Amino acid sequence: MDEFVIETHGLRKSFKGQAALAGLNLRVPAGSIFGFLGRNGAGKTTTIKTLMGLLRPDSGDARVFGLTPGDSSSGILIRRRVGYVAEDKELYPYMTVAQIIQFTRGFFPRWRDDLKQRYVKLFELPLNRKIPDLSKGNRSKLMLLLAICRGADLLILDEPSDGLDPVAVRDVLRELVALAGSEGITIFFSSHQLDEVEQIADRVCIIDHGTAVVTGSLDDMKTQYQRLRVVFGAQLPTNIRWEDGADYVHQEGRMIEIFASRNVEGIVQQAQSLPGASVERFPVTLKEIFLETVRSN
Amino acid sequence: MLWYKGWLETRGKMLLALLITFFPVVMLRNKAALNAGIGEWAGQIATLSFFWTIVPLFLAGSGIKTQTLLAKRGLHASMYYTLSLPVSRLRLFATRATLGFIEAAAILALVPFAMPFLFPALRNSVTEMTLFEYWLTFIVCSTVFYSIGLVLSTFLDDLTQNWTSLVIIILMWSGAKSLHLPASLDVFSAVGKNSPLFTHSLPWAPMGVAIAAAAILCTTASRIVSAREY
Amino acid sequence: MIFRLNPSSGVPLYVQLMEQIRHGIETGALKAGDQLPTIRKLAEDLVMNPNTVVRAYRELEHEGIIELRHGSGAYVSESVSGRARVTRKAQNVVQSAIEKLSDLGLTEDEIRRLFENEIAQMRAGVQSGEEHG
Repeated sequence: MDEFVIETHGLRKSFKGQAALAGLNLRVPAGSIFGFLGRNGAGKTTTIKTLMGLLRPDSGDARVFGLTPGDSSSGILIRRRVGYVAEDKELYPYMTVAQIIQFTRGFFPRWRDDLKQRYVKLFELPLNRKIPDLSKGNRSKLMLLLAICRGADLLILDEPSDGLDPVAVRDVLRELVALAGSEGITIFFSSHQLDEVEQIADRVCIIDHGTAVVTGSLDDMKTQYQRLRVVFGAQLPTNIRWEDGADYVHQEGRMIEIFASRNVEGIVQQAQSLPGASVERFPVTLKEIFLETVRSN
Repeated sequence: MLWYKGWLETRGKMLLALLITFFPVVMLRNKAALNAGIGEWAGQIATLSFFWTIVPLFLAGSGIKTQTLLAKRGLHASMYYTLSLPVSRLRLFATRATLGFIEAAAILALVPFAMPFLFPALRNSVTEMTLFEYWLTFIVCSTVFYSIGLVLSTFLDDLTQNWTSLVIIILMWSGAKSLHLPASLDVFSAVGKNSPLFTHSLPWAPMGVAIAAAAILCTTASRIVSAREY
Repeated sequence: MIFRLNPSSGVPLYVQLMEQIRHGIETGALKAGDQLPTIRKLAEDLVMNPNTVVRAYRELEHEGIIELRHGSGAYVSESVSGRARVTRKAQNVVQSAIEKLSDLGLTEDEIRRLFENEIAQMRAGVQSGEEHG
């Protein structure tokens, strides 16, 4: 299926002359769990706010379900189908848990009471407590409940696991996976927790300085990217011009370490053709990919 | 549901507005002079009326920024939740603005009805019709002040909005005084010395001016709400 | 059959899942005709992306190791029983090779690297052979 739920093209946005987005291209296929990664200030929240119609891009194009979020009537159509968890996880301080559930329910004809009951129990939410009296973790959980029970086709989650303990993180991730599997919901989430992205995402985009530096299938990425260690038995050859794809080369003693983003086979062959070289290959974690790409950018 | 949210948001302020409205009345009641006759305290009635017309300010809100009586943690960040609802910003604005005004009008409606009880002297000098006209006048005139609050609430937080509006209105008031505005344009005197309490007729011209100015301000506020980035 | 995946190992999750299913078949934990968990169940149990499970199942189907029956799930292919016998034979070969290598005083890591290097060389050889031929 070649349908993209979220699509941006050349998205640009500046605040007081400071570029937050510098031509961002993003394509989120329907049914995927899409991890959106980047350092603080890389442009994640700006992107998400643009997708929610809270900000208007200076130039470029953003589409959600093929509609423009900044447009008032399209914006309403989009928000009917989107569950959004904002970065701050703040809700009305004058409402109780039960009140905000009741309040939100009124806006969504497809509201899922079955899921609501399930999450109230699973997340152990105190229904009669006022929102300011909730712990940060409980507020995050409540926000997820409110986003999911809308009967949304797309969840846009800005750091959803912020403030959750490891058990709650696992519960939340499991629910997200179940939603993607049984309801076909697309999940677009930003996170600093690379391990949770690695666990549930099938697609990943790493954003840095407002542009996408790496994007694609996480499994393909892990196949494409590799770390090579070349050890020389004898004299180290000088001035090796490594083949295309050797992004980062580090030399120490008679050992060269190469971080390759593509063309691993070519680089391995080149290394093996050098006199006295033995080559070892190591798989690369998402964390390494993140650190290397953000560093080299 | 938006009405419900608006009610939860404003009920504390409504209480405050009620206190502000009746506090001076109750204070003045103990002054013996008040029982003398309406002519003797016309000046004070004028001041009070002006004071009452700005009560609605406290209830002004544009429906985007979350408000409560007391500023609480995370107050404005929760506006992202409001903006994630499938509702146009115009509807958010219209609902909240209308609700605040209805509440203000309800509080102010208590004033003319309570006055004859508070000031027995009034019973002899004004009819119910006059009291109704008087109420209508300051409701209509207060739309200007309420709308100033609305415009400011689109980008200022609650407390700042209230203070800024007050300062603006006081500047307008002293401006109107020093410029000697003709009575037909002077919204301030329409609730004071030219109010139905003393003239026994509705001040149509300043009421028209008030509604026109309020309409312009409301349109401005709604434009800001629709166009603003959050 | 219990699967244990390590998301942060660097090895793609679908590859890990494929290897564990293959391993299950090789050790006899999974037998021809056995039903594998549904995609949804496996995704929820392992807290992993359903699309990743689909990918693993598809590739295994492509290799002829499992069969995907529409509507009823995934089953271990009948043809694996022959394959399992071959693997068990191969295990013996590998076992004796490892024993000999450790007799030579090589450590576990060294043996692993030797195997990996040989495989890499072999693969490179096959590739360059293809290119030249």
